[in-house]
Amino acid sequence: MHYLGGINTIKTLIKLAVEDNQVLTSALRQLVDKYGFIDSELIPFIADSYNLSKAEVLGVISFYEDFRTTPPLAHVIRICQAEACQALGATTLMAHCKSVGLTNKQNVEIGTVSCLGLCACGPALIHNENLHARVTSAKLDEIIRQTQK
Amino acid sequence: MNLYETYTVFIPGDSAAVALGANLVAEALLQEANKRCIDIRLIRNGSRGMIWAEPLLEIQTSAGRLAFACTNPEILVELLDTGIFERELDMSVAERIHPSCLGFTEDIPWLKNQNRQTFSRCGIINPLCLDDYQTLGGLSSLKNALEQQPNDIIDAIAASGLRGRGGAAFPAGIKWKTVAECSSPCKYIVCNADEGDSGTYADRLIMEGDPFLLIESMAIAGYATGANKGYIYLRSEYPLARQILDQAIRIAQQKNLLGDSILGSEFNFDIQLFVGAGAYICGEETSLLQSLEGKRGEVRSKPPLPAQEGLFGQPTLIHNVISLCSVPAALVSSGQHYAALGINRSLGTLPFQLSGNIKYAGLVELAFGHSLRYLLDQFGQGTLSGKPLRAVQIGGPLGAYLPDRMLDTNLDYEEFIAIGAGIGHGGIVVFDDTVNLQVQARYAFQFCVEESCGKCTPCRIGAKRGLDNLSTSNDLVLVEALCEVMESGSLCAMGGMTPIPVRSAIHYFPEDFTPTELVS
Repeated sequence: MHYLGGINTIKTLIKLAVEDNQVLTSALRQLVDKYGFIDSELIPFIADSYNLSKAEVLGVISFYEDFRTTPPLAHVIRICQAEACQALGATTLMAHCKSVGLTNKQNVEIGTVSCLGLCACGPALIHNENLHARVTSAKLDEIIRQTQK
Repeated sequence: MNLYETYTVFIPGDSAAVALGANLVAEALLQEANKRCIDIRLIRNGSRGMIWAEPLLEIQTSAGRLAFACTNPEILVELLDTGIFERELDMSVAERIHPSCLGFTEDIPWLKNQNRQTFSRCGIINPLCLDDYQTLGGLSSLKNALEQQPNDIIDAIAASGLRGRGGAAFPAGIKWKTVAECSSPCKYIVCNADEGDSGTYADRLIMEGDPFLLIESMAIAGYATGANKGYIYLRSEYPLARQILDQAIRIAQQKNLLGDSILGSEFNFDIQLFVGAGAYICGEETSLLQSLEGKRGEVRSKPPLPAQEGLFGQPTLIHNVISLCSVPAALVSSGQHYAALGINRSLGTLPFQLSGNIKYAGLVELAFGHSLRYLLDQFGQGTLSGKPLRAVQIGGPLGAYLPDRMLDTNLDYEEFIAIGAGIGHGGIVVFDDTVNLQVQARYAFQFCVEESCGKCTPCRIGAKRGLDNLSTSNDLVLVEALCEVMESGSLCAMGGMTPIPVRSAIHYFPEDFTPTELVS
């Protein structure tokens, strides 16, 4: 993997987190915020820095949805599937994605999320950090079309 | 007198408004104003809670704020074409200015018929302006508190009858007293902002619309219980709330509302924002503490109670955002004002959140005691699809599905417990007649499968078996047996309350559970 500033920058970031008494989840959050994922190759280094076993670090990473070990694609779209959005057709929206092949577009990752706090204007989705509400199939097609430019 | 100068324009920067296009309206406004050489002051306020009207645009006039609903860049241009910023218009016929006009915001019945105590400032002020916050009563509660004895504050909280708004409804006064009585020199205030329940967004709305209220409330809680450090555990699905809280905390530190000797007193208090990582279970208090300590968010068994041995083993006052934000309102007249609202043991107000398939969805703060039907009829006014209402889920994914005939139940914690339901965090999700309750019951199990922390067997295995069963044989006797084990044997509310949506769906909508209704 190529990192912004190289592998040493990441290691410095982890070291600083340890020196600053930041807990492991906090350090992992910083990595995800900055790079979008946690490279599994870093796990031995993180484990050493926190005086934990590799299994313990992996245990924490695998517990949380946000702590992924694969780099995200350029566009990450997560469609809310929780009850309030279901009441307004979130399930149909997801089915639409699959039926028209939106799930295999280049550079687009489509996943689900449980609640974005937009329950009064569902169905909702988050595209990278952009929120969309009252999403129809047509609106979703348009969002995806924009990513293919 | 108006807080803002005439012709100030308000377009919310709230997540729901932004998701509905508020940023486009704001950009269009600045561009058009520039083009037309009109001097405009734009404020990105929080949401008034009228999500049905977002993006709501308000214009300050000398007679009050005029509101325009569901705006977009085209409507904005039409609005500017009326000359609203350039000449005196007859505001008494506001509706004639533009069809999107709702009249003066203060007169909109949907808002006027609420009882805004906690949300009194939300949507009115610039969320990041501490001066505006103070002008509308902010910080007076903290200043008062710092002149009192901590015990007197705790007595006032107890007298107000405030109960935890996260869902468990535990009396706040008892919790505060327990933490205050611990002799440890190191105590914590933890704000649970991991609002994962579907149908709820009150925490998000107040954090984005009035963040200093949360900061002030946490400082009061710190002073009363003897804690000097606070954490806000915010879910990562709220990126805008994160930005706003981040800035609010920084401003509070600069203005000495946080830090050493706050507001000239001898009390030190600081807050750190901690962002979660996408685990619903971290809304459970002990799981949240594990996560704050850097670990997997696995639930801890109680006792010890977090109030005695919480974060890093220290006494910890852990409260939901709304519980904390209700503190200044609860402290008015030593708790008497708040206690006079509501009924029985459900005192004060609760911000109810109307969600799902409902026409006028949004946040409605009311005193306890009205019926659920009153809330739905008076404010929601029917389904969005126009089809008949079939089910209402109240209290999030672990809340009951109720049919129309149960809607006369009064909004009171104990009344809802009596019918096998719960008010929870006040989220109310409406479904029309296209809903299939067998599918919803199955989803309840599926949600538990996905979000269970895995620590205790009833939750981890029970939910999986329940899901398998409702997906294949639909053996309701077995499902009931699983529910019984989950309810009585789970460590926390995740496994313990998953039976609530399942059982209520089976009980009230048995027709959806006949074998022919099995959906693949």
